[in-house]
Amino acid sequence: MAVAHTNPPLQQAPPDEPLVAGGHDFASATETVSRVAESRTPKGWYVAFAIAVTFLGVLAVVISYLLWEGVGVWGVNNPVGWGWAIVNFVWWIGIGHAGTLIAAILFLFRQKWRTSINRFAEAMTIFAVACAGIFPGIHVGRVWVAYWLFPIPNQMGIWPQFRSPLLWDVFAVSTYATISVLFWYVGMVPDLATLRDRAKTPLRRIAYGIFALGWRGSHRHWHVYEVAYLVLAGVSTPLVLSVHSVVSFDFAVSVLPGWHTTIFPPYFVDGAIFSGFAMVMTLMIPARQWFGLKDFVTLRHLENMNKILLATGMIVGYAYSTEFFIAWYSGNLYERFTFIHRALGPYAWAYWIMISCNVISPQLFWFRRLRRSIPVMFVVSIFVNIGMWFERYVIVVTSLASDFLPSSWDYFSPTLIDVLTYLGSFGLFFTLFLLFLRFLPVLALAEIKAIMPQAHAHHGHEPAHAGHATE
Amino acid sequence: MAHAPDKAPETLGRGLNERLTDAHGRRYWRSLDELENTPQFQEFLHREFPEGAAEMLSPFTRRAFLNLMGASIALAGGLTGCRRPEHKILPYAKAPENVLPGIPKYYATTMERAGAAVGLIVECHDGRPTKIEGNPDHPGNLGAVDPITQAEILELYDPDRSTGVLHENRPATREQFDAFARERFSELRRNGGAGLHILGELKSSPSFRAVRERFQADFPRSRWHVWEPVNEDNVAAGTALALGRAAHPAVDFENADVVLALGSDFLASGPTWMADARRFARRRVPEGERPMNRLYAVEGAFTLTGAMADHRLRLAPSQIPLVALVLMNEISGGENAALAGPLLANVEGLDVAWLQAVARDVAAHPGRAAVLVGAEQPPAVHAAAAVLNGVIGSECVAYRPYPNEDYGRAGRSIAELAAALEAGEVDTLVILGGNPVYDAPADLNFAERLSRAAHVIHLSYHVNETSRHGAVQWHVPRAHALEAWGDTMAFDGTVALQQPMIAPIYDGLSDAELMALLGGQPLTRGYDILRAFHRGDEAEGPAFEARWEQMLHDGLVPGTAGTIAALGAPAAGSASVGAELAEAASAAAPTGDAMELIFQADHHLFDGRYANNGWLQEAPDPVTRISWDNAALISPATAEALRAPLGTYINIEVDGQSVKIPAWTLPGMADNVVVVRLGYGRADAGRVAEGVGFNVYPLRTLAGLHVRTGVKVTRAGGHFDLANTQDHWSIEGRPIYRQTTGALYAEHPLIIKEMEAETPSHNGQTQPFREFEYDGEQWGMAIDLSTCIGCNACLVACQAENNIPIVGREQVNNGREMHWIRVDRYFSGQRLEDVEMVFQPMPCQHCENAPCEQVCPVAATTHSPDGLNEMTYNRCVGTRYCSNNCPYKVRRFNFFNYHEDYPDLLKMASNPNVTVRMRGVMEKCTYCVQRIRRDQLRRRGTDEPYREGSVRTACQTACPTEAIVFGNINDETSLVARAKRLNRNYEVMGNLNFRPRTSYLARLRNPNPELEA
Repeated sequence: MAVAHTNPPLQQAPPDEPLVAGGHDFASATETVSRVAESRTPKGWYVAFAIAVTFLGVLAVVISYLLWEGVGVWGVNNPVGWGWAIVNFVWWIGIGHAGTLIAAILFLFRQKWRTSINRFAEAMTIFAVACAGIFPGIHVGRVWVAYWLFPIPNQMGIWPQFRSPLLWDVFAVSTYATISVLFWYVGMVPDLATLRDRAKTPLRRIAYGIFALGWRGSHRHWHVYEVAYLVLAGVSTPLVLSVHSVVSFDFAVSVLPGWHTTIFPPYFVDGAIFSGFAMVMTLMIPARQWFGLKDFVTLRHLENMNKILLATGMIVGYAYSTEFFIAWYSGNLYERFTFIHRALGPYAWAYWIMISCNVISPQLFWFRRLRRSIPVMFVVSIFVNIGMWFERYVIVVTSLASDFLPSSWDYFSPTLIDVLTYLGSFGLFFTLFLLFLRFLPVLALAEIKAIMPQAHAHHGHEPAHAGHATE
Repeated sequence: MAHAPDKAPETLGRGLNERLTDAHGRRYWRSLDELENTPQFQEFLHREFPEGAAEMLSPFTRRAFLNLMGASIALAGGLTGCRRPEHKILPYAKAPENVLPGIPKYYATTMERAGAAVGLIVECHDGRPTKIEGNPDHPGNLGAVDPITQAEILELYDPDRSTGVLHENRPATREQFDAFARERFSELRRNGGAGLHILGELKSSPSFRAVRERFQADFPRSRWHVWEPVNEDNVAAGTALALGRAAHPAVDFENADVVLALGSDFLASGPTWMADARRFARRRVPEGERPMNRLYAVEGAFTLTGAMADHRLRLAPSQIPLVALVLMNEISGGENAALAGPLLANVEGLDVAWLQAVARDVAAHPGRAAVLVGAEQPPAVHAAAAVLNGVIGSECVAYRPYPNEDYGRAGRSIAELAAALEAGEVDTLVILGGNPVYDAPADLNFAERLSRAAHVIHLSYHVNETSRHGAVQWHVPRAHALEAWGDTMAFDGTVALQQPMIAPIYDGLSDAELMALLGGQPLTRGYDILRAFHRGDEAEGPAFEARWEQMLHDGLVPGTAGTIAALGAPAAGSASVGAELAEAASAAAPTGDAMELIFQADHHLFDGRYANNGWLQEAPDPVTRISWDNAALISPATAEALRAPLGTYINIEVDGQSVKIPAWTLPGMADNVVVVRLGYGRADAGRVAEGVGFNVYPLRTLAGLHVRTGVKVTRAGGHFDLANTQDHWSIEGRPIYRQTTGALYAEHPLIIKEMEAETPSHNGQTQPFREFEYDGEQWGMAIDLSTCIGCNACLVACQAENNIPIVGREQVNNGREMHWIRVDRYFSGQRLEDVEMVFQPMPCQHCENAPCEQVCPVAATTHSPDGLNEMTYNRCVGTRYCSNNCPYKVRRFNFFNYHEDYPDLLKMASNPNVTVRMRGVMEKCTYCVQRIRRDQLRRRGTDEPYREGSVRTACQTACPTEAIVFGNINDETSLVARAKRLNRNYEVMGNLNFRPRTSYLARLRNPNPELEA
C-alpha cells in the first residue's frame, strides 16, 4: 500500500482509476444523481421530448395505416416475406441485451464498474425490448388474431404449433421482457425511496412512495433486497443467452440457405451484446455530458465498454468468416451461392456496410488513445449500431431474396412506411428514455455508494486510493 | 475462361457468352438482367430509398385500380341474384327437380374467336357460369382450353361491359333504337339495300349464315364485309394459289414423324392450336407407342413452338421464303434450282447445310412429314408448303376448304369498305362486334373515313373506340357467347351448338338476333333462329325434341364431323408457285437501318378485344414473363446496337408513322427483327385496360399486316418499368430443370436420376417421429416437361377455379402476384444467340416433409390424411414464415384485401366452393381440394372406390398437352403412379428430403443426329 503513495497516480494501470471521480461523498453523490430527476426541467429536455414524441406520433400513424391497409404497405413481397419489421425486431432485441448482461452477468462476476451504467443500460434494455415487441405484433397479416400465438385455452380446442420457432420466440421474448422489468424495478426500489424522501411536493412523495414499496432501508429490507436481486440476476443470466438464441432459431431452424446454420445461436448472442454495448455508448456519452454525471461514468467505464466492443466485434467477424468457410466446406451449392451472392450480388452494398461497421471500425480500439477518445468512441458506437442493423438486414433479406429456385428471386425495396416505422420506433424509445431521465434515478445510487471508498471500513486512511473497488 | 464462340457479337453479347460457356454442360439461366450489367441493373444495385419512396404510393394506386372496378357496383345494381337461361327457366318457387344447391351443373356449348371454334363444357353454380373447360369431343380443342377462352368467364362479368343502348353516346332505350331501325331499314328495303354495308367479324356459324343469306336476299344491293385483325388471309391466298381453292391445312400430328415449322407458332397460336398441341404432344414422349417426333423451327421471333423445337434456326421473316425455296429445291429434286441458285449466292449466313439436313430428314419420312407455315409468311410460302406436302406425299396434312368464303378475305374486304366509305357510297353501316377504329389497317384511315357514313350502328360487347367514334349513331350491347344461342363450325365441318348459361345480363343481342331484327325477319329470338335452322325441314315433335335435347347435351350436331372433305394433291401450278416464291425469296435481309417488324397476336389479349380482362392482363407473357404491358422484343445483339437495355424506350418508325415503346431483350431472336404484340394501348377499353401497354396498330398496314420491312428503330431514351413476374438470375447449374435427348435416355436410363446436384443428400435421415401411413388415397402430381409448351392455360384455369384475385401492375412489379401455379421459364444453351427456352410449371409441391408446416406457429398449414398440404385460412395469422421456408416459393400472401372492392358483378365469377381469402392470410395451390372433397362426398356412404380421373385438377383439365397428371399415388396402376415410376421422373431438390408429391418428368429432345455434332 505504501507503493501506492510513492507512485504518481498516472503510472497506475488503468483499472485502478477510481470508479467515482470528483471526490464525491455520499451526500454529494445523492445530490448529483437525484438532481437529474428533481431540478427544473431543462429546456433542452423539452425540445428533445417534443422531437421524440413527434416520432412516436409518426409511429402511431404509420401503424394505424398499416393496420388499416394491410402488410402490403411495406416493401415485403413474395420471396422476401420478412423485411424491415423483422430486421428491426432482431436489432432492437439485440440492443436489449446489453442491459441485462451488464446488470446480471457483470453483477454475478462482481464487476463493480458496472454499477454506474447498469441502471441506464437496463432502462435501455427495457425500452429496446418494448420497441422490439411492437414489430412481431404488427408484422403479422391479421393483427387481431395475433393472440393465437399464445397458448390460451380456447373454444376451438386448438393449441399453437409448438414446433415453430416463432412460438418459442413468443415465450423467450415475453419472459425476457418480464424478468428485465422486474430486475430493473427491484434494483431501483432503494433509489426510488431516496427520491421519495427528498421529494418536495406531495405528488412526488406519493408517486415515488407507491413505487418505493415502503422501503425504509432497514437491515431486513436490505437483506431481502440483496437476495431478490441476486436471484433475479441468476434468472436473467441464462436469459441473456437464451433470448437471442431463440431469436436466431427463427432463422436457423428453417431450410433456407443462409439461415439454416448451427452457428446462429452463439453468433446472435454475441452480436446482440455487441450492439447492446454500442447503444449504451451512444446514449451514455451525451447523457453523462448533459446531466453532469461524468464523475460517475468515467472514462474508465467507457474504456471498459470499448474493450467489450472490440472483443465482441472480433467474435462477430469470426462468425462471418465461419459462415463463409462452412458454406464452402459443406459442399452445398445453394449455401455457397447464397454467401457469394451476399458479398458480390445486388445486396453487396449492405454486406459491405455490415463488414465495415462491425468488423473494421471496432479495430480502432486496439489503440488506447482512440479507446479513450470520446469523439472516436461515439462515432464507432454509431457505426456499430448501423452495422448491426445491416447484419440483420443481410441475413433476413438476402437469404430470402434468392433461395433455391432462381425463378422466384426478387429484389426487396423498402417503402416510405418501412422507413417511418423504423424511425417511429426511435420515437418510442427516446420518449421512454427521456421520461426515464426525467423521473427516475438514472444511476444506481445505492450501488454506487457501495463501491465508493467511504463505504469501506478503512475509508479515510487512504483517501486517494481507489484500489478497493477492484478487490 | 474465354471460350468466346467465334460469332459472338461485340461487348455485351460476348461478356454474356463467356459467362454461359463457363459452365459445364447444359446450363440454364433465367433472364438477362443479371448477366447484363444494364443501367437498370446498376440502378438495381444502387437503389435505396428513392425508389422505395415511390413505391409507398402503391396501395393508393391499387385502391384506385380496384375502386375503379368497384365504381360499377351501381351499374351492376340491376342484377338480382342468379338467372337461368331463357326458355329453360322455371322460377325457384318450386325447386327445379334436377338442381341441388351447391352441386354445379355442366353444360356443353361452343364459342368462336376469329372464326375458330372450340367446344366447351361450362360449370354453372345456381345458374351462374363460373368455369369453362374443354369439350373432349370437339375437334377444335379436344378438351383443352386456352387462357383466353377460360377468361371469357371474367369477360362475361366485366363491370365495364356495355350496359345499354347508346344514341350518339348518350343512353337511349331499346325502343328508340327499334323505332329508328324500323324506319331506316324499311327505307333501305325500298331501294334494295343500296348504301347499306355490314361489317362483321369472321364467323363460322351456319345458323348465322342462314340469317345473313336471308338478309342479303332481302337487301340484295347491300354489301357484307368482314374484318379480323388476326387473320389467315395469307394461308388462304397461298393454298388457293397451289390448290385452286382456299383451304385450311389440318395437320394430323399423331402421324407426323417430322414437322417443319416455317415462321409458324402452331403450338400457341393459329385457329386450332389447342388440338394441334395436344396431338403433337402425344408424340413427344418416349413412352408412347410410336417414336418421338422431331420438330424443326425456322423463325424470327422466339415463339413457344420454337421453344419446343429440336432444332431451331433464327431467321428474319423476310428470309423464310428463301428457306422454303431451298427446301423445295432440295426435296423436289432440283426443280427450282435455277431459281434458288442465284438467290443463295446473295445470302450470307444462311445455314444451307442445316437446311439440307432438314430437307433430307423430311424427305426420309415420306407421308409422315409435315411442313407448316405461319400466317405471317406471304402466300407464296404457303403455296410452296402445299406443294411440298404434296411432293412428300404427306398423309398427315389435309387441306380442307374453309367453312365459308369469308375466311381469307379480311384484308381485301375491309379495304373495299374503306374505299366505299371514301367514295361516299355508304349510307348505313352496321358493325357487328369488332373494333375497326382501333384495329383496322392504319393506311385505310378507317376512323376518318367512318365519318362519311350517314348512319352507323355498332353492336358491341364493350363501348370501345369504335362505339365512341363520332359517326356512330347507335351503340347496341352485344350478348356474350355464354348468354346467347348460336352455333359454330369447326374446320372439319363439325357443327357445335352454343347455348346460353345465363340470361343476357344487360339485354344484349347476338349478331344473328340483331341482323334478324334489322332485316325484319320473322324469327328474331336467338333460340328460335337456332332451333329453326337445325330443325330444317323436320317437323316439330317428340322426335326432333329428343334429337335437339341430345345435341344440346353433347354440344355437337351429330353427323357433321369430317363433312368438309380434304382437297386432293395440288392440281397444278407448281411452276407458278416457284416463280412467286422466287420473287418473295428475293427480299433483302434486314439491317440495322432497315429492320423488320413482326406483329403477333398477344397470347392473352389476342387482337386487343380482351384488354379489359384482368386475368389475361395479369397472366405473364409466356415468353417474356411480362404482365400488364407489351414491349418491343429484340435480340441481344440488336439491343446492344441500339444501346437499348431492358425497358428503354425505342422509337419504331416506318413510312412516317412512329410508335414509342419500351424494348425488351429476348435471346434467340433473329437480329434486326422487332416483335410487337397487338392489343395494347387501348383508349376506350375500360378501366382495367386504361394506360396499359402501347398501341402498335398505327404501324400496321394492309400490305404489312404481319410483317413490315424497312423499319427504322432508334433509341428514344427514358425507361419504362415493365412488370416482370420472374426476375433474373442464372440458374447456377442447379439440377432443377433436367433434360436430355431421347437417344441418351434410351441408352442410359438413369441419366436423369444421376443429375442430382453434388449437394450432400439429406435423404434417408431418420425421422424423430413415426412415418404417417396413408391407407386410403394419397394424391400426387407429375408434370411432363417434355410436353409442357408454357402456354399459361394451367395458370388461368387455376385463377378461375380458385378465386385468385387480380392485383394489378404495381403489385406484380412488387413481386406480389397471386398465381398459385406459375410457369417458370429458363433459357439454356452455350451461346446467347441460339438459346433454348424451356418451361416448368410450379404449383405447390405438397411435400411430405413440408417445411412450411414445421414453422407455422398456429398450425394453420397442416397435412391431411390423404397427403395434401392444407391451408386453413381461418387459422392463419399471416406471419409469412411458411412462405419464407418454402423452398419452391409457391405460397402467396394477401398483402391487401384484394377481394374487398370487387364489384358485385365480378363476384359472380367466383367459385362458391372455394373460400375467398381476406387480407393477411397465406394461400397456395390445394391440388383443387374442393374437387377431391366433392368426389369423396359423392362416394360417401357407398362402397364406390375412387376411380382414376374422377378428380381432375383445374390445371390438369385445361392443359392442352396433357402434361399434368394427377391422381392417387397409392394406386400402383394410376397414371400418376406409373409416371412417377419412370426413370425420367425426378423431384425438384429431391435430395433435400422435402419429399414433394409433385414430381417432374424430365424433358427429352429428339435432335437429328446429323445436326447434333
